Amino acid sequence: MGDNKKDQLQGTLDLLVLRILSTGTSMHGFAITERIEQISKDVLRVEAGSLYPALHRMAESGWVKSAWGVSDNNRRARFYTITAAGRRRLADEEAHWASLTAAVGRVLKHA
Amino acid sequence: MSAWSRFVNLWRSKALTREFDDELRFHLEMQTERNVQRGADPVDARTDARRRLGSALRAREGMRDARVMVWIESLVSDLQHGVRLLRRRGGLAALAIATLSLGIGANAAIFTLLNAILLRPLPYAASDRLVAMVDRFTRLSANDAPPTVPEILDVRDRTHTLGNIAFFDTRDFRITGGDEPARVFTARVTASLFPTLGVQPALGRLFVDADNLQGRWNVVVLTDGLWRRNFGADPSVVGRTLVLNGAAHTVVGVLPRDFSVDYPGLSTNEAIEMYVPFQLYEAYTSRLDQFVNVRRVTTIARLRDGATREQASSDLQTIARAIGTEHPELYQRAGKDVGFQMDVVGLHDMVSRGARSALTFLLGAVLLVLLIACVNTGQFLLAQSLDRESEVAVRASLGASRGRLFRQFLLEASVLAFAGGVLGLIQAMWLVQVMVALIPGHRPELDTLSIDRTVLAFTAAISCASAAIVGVLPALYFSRANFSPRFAVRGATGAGHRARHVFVAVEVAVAVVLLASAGLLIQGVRRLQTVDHGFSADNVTVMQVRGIGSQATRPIASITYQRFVDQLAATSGVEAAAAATPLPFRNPSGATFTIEGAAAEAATSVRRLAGYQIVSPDYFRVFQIPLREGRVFSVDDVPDRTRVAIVSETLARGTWPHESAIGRRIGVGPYWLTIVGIVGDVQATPLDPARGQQIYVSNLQQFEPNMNLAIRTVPGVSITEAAIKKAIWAVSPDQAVFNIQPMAALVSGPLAQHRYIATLLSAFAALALLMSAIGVYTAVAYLAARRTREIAVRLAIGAQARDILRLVSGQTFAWTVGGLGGGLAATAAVGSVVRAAVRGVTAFDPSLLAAQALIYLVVAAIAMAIPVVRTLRAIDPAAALRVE
Repeated sequence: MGDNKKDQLQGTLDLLVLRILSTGTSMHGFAITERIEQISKDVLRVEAGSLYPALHRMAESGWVKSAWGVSDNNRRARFYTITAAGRRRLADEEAHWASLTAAVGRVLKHA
Repeated sequence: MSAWSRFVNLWRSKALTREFDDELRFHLEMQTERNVQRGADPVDARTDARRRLGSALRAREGMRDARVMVWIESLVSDLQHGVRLLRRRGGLAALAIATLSLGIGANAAIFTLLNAILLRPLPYAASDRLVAMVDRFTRLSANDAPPTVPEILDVRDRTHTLGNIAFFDTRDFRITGGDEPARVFTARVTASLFPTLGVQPALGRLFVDADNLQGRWNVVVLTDGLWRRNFGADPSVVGRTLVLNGAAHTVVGVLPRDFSVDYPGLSTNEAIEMYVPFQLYEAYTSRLDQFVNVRRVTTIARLRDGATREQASSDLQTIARAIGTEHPELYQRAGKDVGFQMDVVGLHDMVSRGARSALTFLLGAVLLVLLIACVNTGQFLLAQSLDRESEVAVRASLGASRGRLFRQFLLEASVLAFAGGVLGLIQAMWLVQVMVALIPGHRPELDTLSIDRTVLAFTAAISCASAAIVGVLPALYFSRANFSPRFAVRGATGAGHRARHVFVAVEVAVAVVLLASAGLLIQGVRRLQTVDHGFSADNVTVMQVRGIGSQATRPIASITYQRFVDQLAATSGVEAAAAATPLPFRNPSGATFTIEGAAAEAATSVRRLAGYQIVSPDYFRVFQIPLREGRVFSVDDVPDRTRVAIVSETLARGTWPHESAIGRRIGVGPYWLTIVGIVGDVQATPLDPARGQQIYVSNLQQFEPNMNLAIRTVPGVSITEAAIKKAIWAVSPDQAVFNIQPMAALVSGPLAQHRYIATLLSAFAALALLMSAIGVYTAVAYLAARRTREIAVRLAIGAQARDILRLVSGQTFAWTVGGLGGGLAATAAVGSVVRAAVRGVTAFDPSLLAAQALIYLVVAAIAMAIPVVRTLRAIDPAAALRVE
C-alpha cells in the first residue's frame, strides 16, 4: 500500500464498503451506495464511478467475492459478499482508521 | 477469480465490457426509479441518475483497470519476490537449475533425433503421398517382404490407385581408368524413380523409360557427392565416358545436392554414389527364370490424386488375389494357400521402421530422468519454503489466498524451469552433435539435423511441464497444511516430512528402473557378443571383389576365385584363404531340402529348411569350424564329379538320429547332394545366438559370381591392404578390392546400434543415479540441519554417532528401500519394454537386479551418511544448547 492521498481516500471507501458488507448479507452496488448514504444521513455520497472500480479491485484482491443474482425487483444484478480475507482487511482498516482519527482528534484538541 | 477466468478475461474483453455495462445499467435504472419514487419528474430523475453515476465510461474503464492492474501488479511483485528468494539461495538455486537443465537438455537432444527420423517429412515433393509396396504371406508369417519384379509390373498394369511406380536395388560397380580400380556403390533404378520422387537434374538429364530396356545399360547419373569428389564438380562432365565393370558408360546427368534414397529402412546401408538404369531383362520380368522368387528390389509408388492409402491397400489386395489365382504354382505350395497378400506402407513409416521403437524407448528414459530432476527441484523449493514456514504462515494470515501462495510456488518453479530450459537447449545442441557423431551406420536423415521449431516447441512444452510439476509438489504440501502455529512444532521435531520422503521414494524408484533397464541392455549386448559363435573371427580378414564382369560365365568365376584364394594363401603371413557366399554370421538365405528315401507325404508335409552357403575348400580352416566326421571339400570336387555337401551337426543329428549322415543324399533345388562331411554348428545371425541347420556346397560345383574372400593370418602378423590388393591384382589387374576389414568388425558391427542405445541409456541411468542420490542427500541434510538441537541434546546425554545416524536417516532409509522395491517391481514390467525395443535382449536376470539394488543402496547410504557426519562434526553440544 502506498501512502499518497489517493490511496488514503481509496482506503476509506474500502473501509466503508467492507463495513457495510460485514453484516454478512450480500448486496449489489446500488444497495451499498444507498446504505452508505442512508446511514451517513446523505453526508457521504458515493459516486458509481468510484464505487464499481473499488468493488472490482477488492474482488481481485480476494476481499469480496461477486456473483450474478436477481434483485428485489426481479432484475439481474451483481451481488457482493465479504470474504474471510476481507474481514481481516476490515479489522486492519478499522484499527488504522481508529488510530488515525484518534491522532487527528488529539491534534485538534491540544494544538 | 480463478487464474483461468482471469486469463480468459484478457482475451474476451468484449464480453467483460458487456458485464460491466450490465452492472452499470442496473445501477442507472435503480437510481432513476428511486428518484421517481421520491417524486421527481422521470426525465429529471434520469438526468440526475446519470449525473450521479458519473461518466459511465470512466466507471467502466475503472473496473477494467482494477481487474487487470491488480493482477499484473501482484504478479510482478510475486515474481520479484521469487527471484529475490532464489538469489538469496544462490548455490542451491544454481544446483536446481543445473539439474533441470540436464534433464531438459537430454530430452531436447533425444527429441531432435526423433524429430529428424520420425517426424520431419521426407525431403521429396508431397512426400506424404509416397508409399512402399510390400508382400505378406499370412500362412508363412512372413511380413513386409519386398515384392518380386513380375509382381510390381503386374500392379503397374492393373492399379487404379497408384500413379508412378518405381523400384531400385543396389550393386557394387567396378570403375577403372583412375589410379587404381575402385568400387562405386550404385543403385539400379527404373526411370520412373526420379519423377515419382519429384526430383529434377542439376545437370544434364535423368533417365527416360527407354533406358530400362535391354541393351540400354550404358548411361549413368552421378550423385552430387561423386561429382564433386571424383570429377571436381566439373560442369562439363555430362557426355564423359566412364569404364564401369569393363564397359564404357556415358554420364548423362548429375543429381541435385540433397537427393538420396539410401535409407537403411529401404534396405540401403551405405551412401549411393551413382545411378544406372535397371535393365528389365526377361529373366527379371518373367516368372519363368531363376529370379522368380528373388526379392531384392525396393518399391516406391505415389498415390494417384484423390486416392487414399486405404483405397490403395484394397486395390493391391484385389490385384494380389488375382496374381495368386493366375500363378498357383508360385502361391500355392503343395496344394496349400500361402496367404499371399500385397499392401502399401507409408514411405516414411518404411524409412523410419526399426528406429521408431528405439527412439521412443530412449525418449521414455530421458523423460524419467527429467521426472527425477523435477522431483529434486520440487524438494529444493519445499525445503526452502519449509524454512519460510513462518513467512508463509504470516502471509496466509495477512490474507494471502491459497491461490496466491500456489502462484508463488509456480512462479519460482517457472523461473527455475525457464533458466533450466534455456541452458538445456544449449546443452542439447552440443549433445546432439556428440550423439550424431557416435551413431553407427549410415543415416541420411541426420545430415540436415537442426534444432527447428518443433524441437523448440517440445523444449518449451517440457520446460512448462517441469515448472508445473516442480511448483505443484510444494504447493500440494502446503495446501493440506492449515496455516496454524503447529508449523513451529513441526519444524522442531522434524516429524511430518512425509512429503519429502515420498519424493525420495519416487526418485529412487525411477532411478532404479533406469539403472536396471540399462543393466539389462548391457547384459543382453554382452551376451550376444561373448557367446560362442561356433567359428573364430580372430586373425581373420575379409574383403569383397566385384565385377568379374565378362569373366562371370560359368565355370570361369569359380576358377578365378580359386586363383584369388591360391594367390592370397601364398602371401607371406597368410595361413589359409577361402571364398564364401555369404560369410558366416551374415544371415545365409534359407534353402528347403528333401531327404532321399523319406516317404513322399513326409517329404511334402515336413519341409526342412537350412541355411545355405557356397564355400571354397579351405573355408572351414579359415574360420576354424571343427570337422566332426568325414571330410571337407577338396579341389577335386568339380562339376563333372559327384555333387557333394557338408552339413552341420544339428542337421545331421536331427535328420538321421540313429545312424551316420555320411553318404546320405539330400535334394536341394534340382540336385541330389551326397553328404561327405559333418561340421560344428555356427551361429547364423548376429541377433540370435541359436545355431541351426546348415548346408555347405562347394563353389567349384555351384556357380556363384559374387563371393567374399577371407584370409586367416599367422597370429601376431598383420597384413596390409596393399599386400592384399597386390595379390588380387596379380591374378586380375582390373579387380576392385574393397571393404577390407577384420572379421571381428563384421561380428560386432550388427550390435553397434544395441551398443549405442546401451551407452546412451547407461549415461542417462548414471545421471538418474546421481540426481536421486542428490535427492536423498538433500532430504537427509535438511532433516539433520533441522534437528541439530535435538542431536546436540542426545549427544550431551551420551548417544553414540550410530544412534544419531539411525535417528536422522532411519526414516529416509526406510523410504529409500521402499522406493527400491517399487522400482524393482516396475523393472519386471519394464523388462518386457526393453525386450520389445531392442531385439536380442532376452533374459530377466534376478542376480543382475540384486547387484543393481546393492549398488543403489551403497550410493544411498553414502548420500545419507555424509550430511549426518558433517552435522556431528559441526556440533558443539554445549554451544548448540545455548542457541534459542
